[in-house]
Amino acid sequence: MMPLAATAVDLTYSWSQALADLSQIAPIATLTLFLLFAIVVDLALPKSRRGDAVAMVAAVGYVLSLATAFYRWNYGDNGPAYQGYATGDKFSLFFEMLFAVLGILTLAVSHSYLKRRRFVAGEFHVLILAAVIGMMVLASATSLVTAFLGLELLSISLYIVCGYARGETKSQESAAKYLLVGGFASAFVLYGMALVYGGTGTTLIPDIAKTLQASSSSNPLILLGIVLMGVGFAFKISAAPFHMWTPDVYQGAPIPVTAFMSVGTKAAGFAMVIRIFAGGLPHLAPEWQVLLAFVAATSMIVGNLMAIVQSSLKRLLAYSGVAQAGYVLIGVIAGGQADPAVRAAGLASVLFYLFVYMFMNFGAFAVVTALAGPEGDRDRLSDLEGLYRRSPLMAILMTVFMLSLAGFPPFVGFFGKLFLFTAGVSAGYTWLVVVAVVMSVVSVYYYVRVLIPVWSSSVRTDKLEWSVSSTMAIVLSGALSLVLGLYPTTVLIASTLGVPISFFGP
Amino acid sequence: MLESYVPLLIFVLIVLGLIGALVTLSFVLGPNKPHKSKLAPYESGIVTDTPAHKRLSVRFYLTAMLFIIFDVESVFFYPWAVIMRQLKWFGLIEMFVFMGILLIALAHIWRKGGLDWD
Amino acid sequence: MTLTILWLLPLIGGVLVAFMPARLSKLMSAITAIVTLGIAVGVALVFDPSAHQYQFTEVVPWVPQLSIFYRLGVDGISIWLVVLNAFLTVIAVLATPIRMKNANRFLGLILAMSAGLAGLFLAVDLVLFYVFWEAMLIPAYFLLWLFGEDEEKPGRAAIKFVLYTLAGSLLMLVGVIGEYVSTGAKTFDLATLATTPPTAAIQFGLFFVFALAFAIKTPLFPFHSWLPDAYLAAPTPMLITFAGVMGKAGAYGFLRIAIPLFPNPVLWWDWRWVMPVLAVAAIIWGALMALAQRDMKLLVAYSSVSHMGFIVLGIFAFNVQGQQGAVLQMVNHGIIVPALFLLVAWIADRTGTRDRSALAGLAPRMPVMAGVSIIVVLAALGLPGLNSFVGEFMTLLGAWQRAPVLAALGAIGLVLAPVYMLRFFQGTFQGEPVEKRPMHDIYTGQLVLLSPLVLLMFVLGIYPYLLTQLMPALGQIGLAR
Repeated sequence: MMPLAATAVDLTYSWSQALADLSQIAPIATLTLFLLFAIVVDLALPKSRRGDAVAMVAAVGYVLSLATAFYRWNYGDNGPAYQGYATGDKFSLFFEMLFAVLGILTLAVSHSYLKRRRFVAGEFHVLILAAVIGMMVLASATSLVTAFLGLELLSISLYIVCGYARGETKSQESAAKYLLVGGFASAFVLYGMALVYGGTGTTLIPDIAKTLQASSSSNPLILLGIVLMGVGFAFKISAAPFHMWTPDVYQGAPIPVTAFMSVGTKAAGFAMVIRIFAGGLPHLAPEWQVLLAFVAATSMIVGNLMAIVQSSLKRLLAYSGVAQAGYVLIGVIAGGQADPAVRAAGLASVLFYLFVYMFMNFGAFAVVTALAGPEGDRDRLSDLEGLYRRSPLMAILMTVFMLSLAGFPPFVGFFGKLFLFTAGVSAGYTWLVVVAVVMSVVSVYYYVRVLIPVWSSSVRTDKLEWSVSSTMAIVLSGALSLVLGLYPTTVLIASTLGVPISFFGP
Repeated sequence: MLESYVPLLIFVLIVLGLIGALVTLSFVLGPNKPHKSKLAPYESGIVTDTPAHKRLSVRFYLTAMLFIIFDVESVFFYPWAVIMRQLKWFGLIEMFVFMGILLIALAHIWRKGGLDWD
Repeated sequence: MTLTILWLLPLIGGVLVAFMPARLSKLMSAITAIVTLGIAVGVALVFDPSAHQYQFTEVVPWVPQLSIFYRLGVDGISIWLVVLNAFLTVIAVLATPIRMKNANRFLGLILAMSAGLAGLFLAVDLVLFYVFWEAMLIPAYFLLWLFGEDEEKPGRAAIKFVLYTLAGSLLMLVGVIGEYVSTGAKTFDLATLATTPPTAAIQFGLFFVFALAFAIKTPLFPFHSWLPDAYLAAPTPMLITFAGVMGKAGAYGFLRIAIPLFPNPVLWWDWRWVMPVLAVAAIIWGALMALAQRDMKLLVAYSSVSHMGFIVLGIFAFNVQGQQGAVLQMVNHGIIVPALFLLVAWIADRTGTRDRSALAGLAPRMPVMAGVSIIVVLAALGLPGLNSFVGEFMTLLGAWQRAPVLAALGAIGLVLAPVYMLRFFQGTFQGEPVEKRPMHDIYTGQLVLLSPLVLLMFVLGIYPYLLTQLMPALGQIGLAR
């Protein structure tokens, strides 16, 4: 066993060091500052003006955070901070940009939604801000402790917003279920982390990798830790067989929350999986690859088959999200290969897919958001009837999102899948790719089924109200779903830069 | 690696065996004369007259939870206080920032009525 | 840039047309289609038959990390299909009635589908080929679903078609990736890939996934069951390109990808023998099913299965006659089938039924229609002097050189074709009329629409060298191995 070394900690912490550390996590720090500011604004202003003011503060925060991350991506001296507990490397910056964009999209869509449903707007935006910060912390964590901190910040904020429609039983059920399952998953992750810590004597992910490289034998403690963390992560990214909560929680939560969760928690979960598994445990790759391959195959099969029979769009997209998690896992599995080229290609494909998945999935949810009325969400498939008469633009965009999710070229979903599958085949997991492909055929059935009411002739001709901000968010998502499909190179380069070789430890 | 767990395994087996033996022995050997008051869950001889589950006001939970949150956060002051001198001015200012954040939270709770009992 | 215009022009035109008023949309789409046809014919005229490589090539890096290129080119095979596609698009646009509901959308989708098909025939990069292969499904699906004539369950035929095709084509995606990984060439360039085939065992597997996709699209027996439903549901103007060109996409895939890339697909068995056997099965099965149909549209649909069998048989003869005959037959069938579907639709318009047994004696009442019909029917059954004869003869000749038994069995289809085709003609036009109601003969517009098709039947029947002269290129690009 590793003795726990009692190293003397140097307590001197100079101002310049503090500044350097802070600049590494500048996007997070910026957003945190605006979170506090938003709370103060929410307190100080009269009730009638709170919602708009907090939304403004949040918007400025997201934009500044995005700008900071973008600046640091291009000009920053990216490296570890806080004695290795966090980092400002390109991997974290990639996800920070992703989450900042997601925050902007969520804000744009939720603003009018909250008004229509007469919810208290201020706290909603504050909670989403907190969740975004949690995701960013998760992405930039290089220690198990920091990762857990981010995970909890993210989860706790989401527990609350899931139950934001307090009058609805479904929303309450959603929050309660998410709290219980989320707590359960966190416990699993924490237990797994504790075991890995016990086996290696450190919580710093690069040090874990070093320790494991030095000790050739595989410690059962660590293996058990991997299994437990794997289970916990599978809960978070809603991969089968740990997906049971997903449809219920997604259905009950208000739609902007569902949209936010479906993209955000998934991306954050994958950031953590990559950081810990591919970054910290590359020497045990064969062990966790088997585990993840099983989870991936189950997710794709269960998610796609269950989605067929859904009549609620939220549930359908929830199951589709389960299936999509399975596809993305193929890239993560390829990211465990010893060959650096395959590994980099695998992880880059994951980053690429998560980035583009944001636009197509969020866009689909955003269209449904606009259907909601004051009394509740309207997410039955039949609620989409005659959409092309009620709003031709939205009908076309919904078609784009669905076809992109189904993986039709020239939309971006196709390239996402192409990269993932290429990585999978290169890594020798052809059987998994074949499962993915067969299940993709199934998925086309239900994605296209959504389009049937959209384009069907219906007696409904009532005009829908589209707020400017949400229309812009949806149009942006739709345009990117097409443009990134026609020209995926830039994002792919960014994804590749997001996983430099140095990321994999010594 | 696995060998080092053998003592642990032996220990666990002994523990389980001992407990099993004790429980079985007391079950087999001990006198067994059930009586209504003996079987009552509360065994101090006092007959229970009210249900054990008492309903508390929901407001109590809110207060309790707020107390715990601030309590846990104030625990952070203790290790800081021990090494305050070594951390110098930086540590002091850092702690003020921390307290400032706590204050905002407190103000938030106050303003939103989290401290009102009614 | 010329080749890019060939697919981009109809696509842009299609998008714009979809939002125009009906009358203007027809004019604009006709102009778009005719301009495209003009460019395509221009390319064919400038095409150099002596140069045995891809011509008019365009190469632009697309996703350099995976060496995916936007790579277009034409050779002696694809040039004919490009021209055929452009030509049939013009016919399809002109055949679309303006009074049709949402005619602008319909025309837009027709143009978009034509753009996808053009791109498919032009692509010489495996990923680009796949992109067009999948992308053209989108307009095809919406056409079948939104404008389908299947009243009871709208969209059923459409979803069946899409799922069938996707089942094959998504597996083909695995094949595309597998080819990229296994050859070690790290390229999707078709010309380079043809020079670096993987090992026989890998070829065996990859051939299967590609051939499955192409067989479903063609369609080859036993993967044809989507075809009757789709053809029955499809509106006639759509069928002109849907049956006339899209069916050829599968056969083209065999010729362009499956054969050159996998010259030796042998492991447990030899795929090079399985395919022609399936082709013969398709010839006979399609013919027998056509015999059994009373609905004229279904009859033509099943005859199409039979004719596609000839094409695949010729391709897998692995000699110049067979493959030249196959390409020739693709064009021939692309001319005949639209004509047949148009005639069926016009007869059904006038009589109110597509059931051939409910009709009789139409000839005296519409003599011109009967005259045109007999020419088309004779062309379809392979009368010498009309176009189909040459193609079928050459495919059978090629098959005979490979294995006489295949040619002999395939010839059964040739025997059955006159039976069902003439029964179709006799049943509708000859005999005692069931009712005396006077009917309008073929309209002038319809005759004008049909005349280029009929003209081509004669031209290609008498002078097939017009096409085959460009095809020596065929033997040299590693096909006839």
